[in-house]
Amino acid sequence: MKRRMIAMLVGMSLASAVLTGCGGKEESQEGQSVEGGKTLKILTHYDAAFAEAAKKYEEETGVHVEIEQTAYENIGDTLEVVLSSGSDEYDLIMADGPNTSAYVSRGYLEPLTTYFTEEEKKCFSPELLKQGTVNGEFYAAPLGDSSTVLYYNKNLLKEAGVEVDFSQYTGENRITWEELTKIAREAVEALDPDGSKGLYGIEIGQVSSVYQMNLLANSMGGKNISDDGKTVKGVIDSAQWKEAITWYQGLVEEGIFSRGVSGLETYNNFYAGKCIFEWMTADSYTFCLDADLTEDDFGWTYQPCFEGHESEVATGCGNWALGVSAFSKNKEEAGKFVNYMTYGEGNDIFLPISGMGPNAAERYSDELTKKNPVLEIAKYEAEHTACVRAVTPAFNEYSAALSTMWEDVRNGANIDDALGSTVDQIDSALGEYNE
Amino acid sequence: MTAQLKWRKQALPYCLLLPALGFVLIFKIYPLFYCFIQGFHYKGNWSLRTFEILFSNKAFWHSLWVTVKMNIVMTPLQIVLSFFMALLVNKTVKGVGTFRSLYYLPVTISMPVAAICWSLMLSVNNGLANSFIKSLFGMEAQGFFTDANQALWCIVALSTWKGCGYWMMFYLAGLKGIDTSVYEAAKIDGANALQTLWNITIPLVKKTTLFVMVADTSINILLFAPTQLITSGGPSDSTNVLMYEAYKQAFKYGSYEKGAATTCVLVVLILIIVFFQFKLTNQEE
Repeated sequence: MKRRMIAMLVGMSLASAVLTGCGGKEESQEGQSVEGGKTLKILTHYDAAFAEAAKKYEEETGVHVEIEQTAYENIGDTLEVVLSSGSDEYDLIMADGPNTSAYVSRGYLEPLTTYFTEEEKKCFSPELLKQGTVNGEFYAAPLGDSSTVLYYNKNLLKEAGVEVDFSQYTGENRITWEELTKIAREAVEALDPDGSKGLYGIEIGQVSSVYQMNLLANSMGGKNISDDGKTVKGVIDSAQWKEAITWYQGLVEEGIFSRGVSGLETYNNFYAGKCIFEWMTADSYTFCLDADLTEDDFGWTYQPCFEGHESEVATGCGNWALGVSAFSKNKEEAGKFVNYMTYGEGNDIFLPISGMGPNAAERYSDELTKKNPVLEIAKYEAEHTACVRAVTPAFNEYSAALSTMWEDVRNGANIDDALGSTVDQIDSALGEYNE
Repeated sequence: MTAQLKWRKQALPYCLLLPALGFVLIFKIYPLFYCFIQGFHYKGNWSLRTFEILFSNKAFWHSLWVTVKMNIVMTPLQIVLSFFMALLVNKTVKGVGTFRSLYYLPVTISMPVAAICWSLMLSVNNGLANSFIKSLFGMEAQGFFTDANQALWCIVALSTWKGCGYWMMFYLAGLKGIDTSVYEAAKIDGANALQTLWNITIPLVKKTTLFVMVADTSINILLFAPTQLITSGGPSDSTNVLMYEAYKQAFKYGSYEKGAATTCVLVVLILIIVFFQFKLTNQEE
């Protein structure tokens, strides 16, 4: 009896395994959904925004888009593992803009030339088009654009008795970093004199990442990579970079900027009223609302500039881009979906929900700015101060080495030593790609 | 017994071992071979260029040094601590079971959870350790995982805390296997506690020590999780162990060949160390 029972259980589990195995195989290998239409698969950290656009696309075309969700910091590593094995797991590749060049050099992306007309491509802002184009071929279409903005906690400033008229600041007349640090210092001294509350003056949303940190050096006139893209020697160890890093390290030492706090934690600190100013992206407005803050709690202004470098201010730009996997069995459907999501109607659905800035100046609309008023600033910055990250196939290595450098100087490392070893690491990686 | 029956009897153990061997083959031997094959490739062709690039890279040598430095301290420390913990819980006193469980408890916590707890506890900002240091001793807050001089040793402490209970169990089994009459004879001969430990206990758990030494060395050299979860190899590459370097090469930079070559070096390193450990122990015998 007992033996029969075990045999039955084993039989049932085997049968269910076979059945599930068959079902999965049919869908993933053939890319066919149950209804008979095609299924495309994507790995993304956007849920509602993507799902809404994909739902509409399915209604119109019958092509189903299966969305696999993950945290944004896991996308790069996961894609690297999947694509390097030549897997057709994902038909659509959502890449951080500067990674396009690296993905193309590894043969992960299919050219999008047949899915976009020349006129359609010209609609994207030039910086974003440049980021998605490698060796003259268009590989990754931008979903949107980003920008960097300074947010402030109105309640904390009021509580500290510090009055600042932020309405006076414009793109041409910004608050300077020097003025801002002075205000932050005063406010922290008033609110948390003994440091027991763990209050910070200024936090950086993507702290120690090249997206935001390099802007400090860029805003002093420093470049990200040599003009020919072959070296960083003499570029990231220039006087402008050293000045920016020294300034930042000094303020970390002083406790105005935080140490040992991750990017995600800095966001949470701002939502929780643990920091007065947070320098983050334009779409963070929606995150603030999601965290139950209202416009009575927080305000925003243009990213500060450095005194004496007012005309050199550099703000962040670039964003996630969509491409077609070179290993996809549904390249044509995927290509059409990329067009829909970046140029077509899908983009109009995606942008207001995600809070992301549009991928072209012409696409800024009242509807978008009504949903996210910070985009007013983003529009100005995109047209005047946007600074593209380094365009190189070694962007991963470049980004990792520089992120380590920024984190090291944050932790008090010797600036010359940190820069020296970073230059060696990046140039060594660039050398390999140039072979 | 017929020939067929005899053959069946002889084949049975091998058949029973087959599933386990299959798994070892698929999940251990094949990846290892594949790793070596990949390591000897450069841009898809057989070549030694990957190793040439690796050996000319300062970051690789630094990583190798960090790995060696960490293991020189961590492995002996874990062996000694787990041995003494086993000695403590080998006593037959009331409530010793509670202590055994307490010492073993860290082993049951997953490494990611342990890493997060330790990073919170040793946080430079409002961590528990810094609160004690500041309030009890009036000292300045320590950097711990953010200090290039302390981060590696914090990882050593975390791994030792997490690992010692596990090795303690092996020592405990070894100690339990020692005949009590040997101790009684030593007592009659007038040996004190230290002499008993040195002349009886340590030599009699030599085989356990060898196993613990080999297994612990292999595990420690491949230690990766705390680095990945807490320090990302920093600050100033002070915790950038070879295993993490291999991970970065393969999964962050998409260079499987370099990642594989780094792993080959790790495997060779482990083999050399284990060879000398065996040699040393056999020599003493």
